[in-house]
Amino acid sequence: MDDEKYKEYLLVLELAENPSPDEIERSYTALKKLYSADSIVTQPMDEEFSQEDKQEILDDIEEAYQALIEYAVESPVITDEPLSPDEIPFPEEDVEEPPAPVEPPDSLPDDSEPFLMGEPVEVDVAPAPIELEDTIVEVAEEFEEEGKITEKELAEEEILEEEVADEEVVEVETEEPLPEAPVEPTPVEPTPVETTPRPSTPAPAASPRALPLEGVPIIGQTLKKLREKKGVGIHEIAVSTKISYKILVNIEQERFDRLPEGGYLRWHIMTYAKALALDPHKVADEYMKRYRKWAREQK
Amino acid sequence: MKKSEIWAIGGGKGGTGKSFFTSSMGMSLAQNGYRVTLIDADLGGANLHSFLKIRKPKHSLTDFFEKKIPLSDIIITTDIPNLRFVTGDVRSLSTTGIKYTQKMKLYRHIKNISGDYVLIDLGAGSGHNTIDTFLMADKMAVVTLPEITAIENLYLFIKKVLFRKLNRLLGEHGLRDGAKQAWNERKNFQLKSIKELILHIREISPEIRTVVDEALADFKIYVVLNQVKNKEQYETGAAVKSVLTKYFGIDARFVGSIGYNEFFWKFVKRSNTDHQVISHSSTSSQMRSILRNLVEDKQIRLPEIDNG
Repeated sequence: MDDEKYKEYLLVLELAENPSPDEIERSYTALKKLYSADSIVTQPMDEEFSQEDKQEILDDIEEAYQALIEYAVESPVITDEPLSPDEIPFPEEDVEEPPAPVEPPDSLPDDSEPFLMGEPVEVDVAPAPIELEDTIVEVAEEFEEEGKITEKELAEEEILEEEVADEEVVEVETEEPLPEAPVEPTPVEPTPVETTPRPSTPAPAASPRALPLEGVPIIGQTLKKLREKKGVGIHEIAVSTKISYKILVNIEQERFDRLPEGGYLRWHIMTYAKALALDPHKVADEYMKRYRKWAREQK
Repeated sequence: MKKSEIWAIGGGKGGTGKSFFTSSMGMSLAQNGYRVTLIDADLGGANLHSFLKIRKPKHSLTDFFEKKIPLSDIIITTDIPNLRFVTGDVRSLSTTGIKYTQKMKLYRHIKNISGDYVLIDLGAGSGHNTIDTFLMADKMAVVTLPEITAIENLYLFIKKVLFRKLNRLLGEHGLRDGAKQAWNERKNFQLKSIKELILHIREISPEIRTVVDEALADFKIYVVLNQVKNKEQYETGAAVKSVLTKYFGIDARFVGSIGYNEFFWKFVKRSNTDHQVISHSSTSSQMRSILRNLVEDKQIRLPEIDNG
């Protein structure tokens, strides 16, 4: 989060610089109590400050707390320098030249692992661009099953996905080619779900490196775990994807009430997934399913 | 010679312990080697001298106004080394009978008092003169109690102070009574609170906005909580700071609490005089802690229980 926002949050929680998690908790608890219950300190101002005003204050307190506690716990090192190409976990499909065929690494994760990241794939041709039409059709069909999606939303998604595709092209031009060393897959601890065998079919054309994500719910928590496994902080993702820190936190925590709606959210999820070297469409599909479920429950 | 840093102690309601606090602070500073001048401007009964074991002084500020006696001749020394004293007299600083020019003259003189600190006990009340004196200080401190009427009065006091400051500012920029007008018409402008009033005034023009923002950036209130009886009440200090910050939009700092026992120590022994009470309290850890925070401009962010 940027300096100004950080200072603002400190002001809201009435803390000095670099508060410890304990201090943040204590201030949060005390302030929440002060503005929710009646007290001799707030009562004289009740005429001027309605329940609504107090609720606004409480909302600010909540937002500040979420941001600061995450920040304090993570204790990231923020630099203004852009991350070097080695540090940015971009998926292989951004490489201009097709990667040379690589030997599978020695330590293959066993079949109980539901999915891998960065699994090397043999490709004869340059990675195919995302076939938007197919994707849209897939998505549309899904939506038909689950509920309505308006044409407008579809069109929006189309535009955004084109943007994402464009971005990929741009990145290919400016990125230094990644070194040829094999990318070590980082085995991920499965979240407590039933395990599924790795599919033997090759990846579909729509995404050159489809990851077998069936059976594993892509929930916010999963993304967080994957990210942590990679040893990447939210801030690094924020810097490399340009998605705000706050949104990333809310994605991981599935705070749907605080996330942008529909098309934009999908785009964010896709960008985030890419940064974690995951199939952006699969991840977004899964995540958006959960989001739409929540959205329906709100009505 | 060095000019003193001026502290004004106010807060609106009588009986919160402002005189006790001011004289205790003064004594503590003097004991630490600082040269202090105490000014008693307490309408409710100038009694600061009794805390300091001085007989009612010969001259008061009234003589400053009426007989044009220079301030330096009215300041008297006390038994306590480094501690000098001026009494305000019942009438002098509280009524509106004093001409504006006279008031300014007094402030000029006060600002020229040599030494390290000038502490002004404003006592109760929130008339123009009390508020103007409060505003002219380098540090504005308020003493309140963990009790609803004291807190209510405190908010009223702060409102008046803010209002006065805004009015003066706007007056200097050709918008006399701008704040007052806006407040009187607040229903039309849908202004519910002074915070909204300030937001409204800021919109008048970019120039006004700069002026208001600068004034607010400079506007700090130091909060002291007196007569605290239990743990829950300790939280009141930080809570008051919070409300002042969030509801009024000002920079408020909680500098410490004084325990009930501390304040009423004199009742422990009937023969204890006010002077002995001050002597005792000025060395207490609570007082020293508050003093340190005021001098060093620090604040207590989370309630800390001081059992000292």
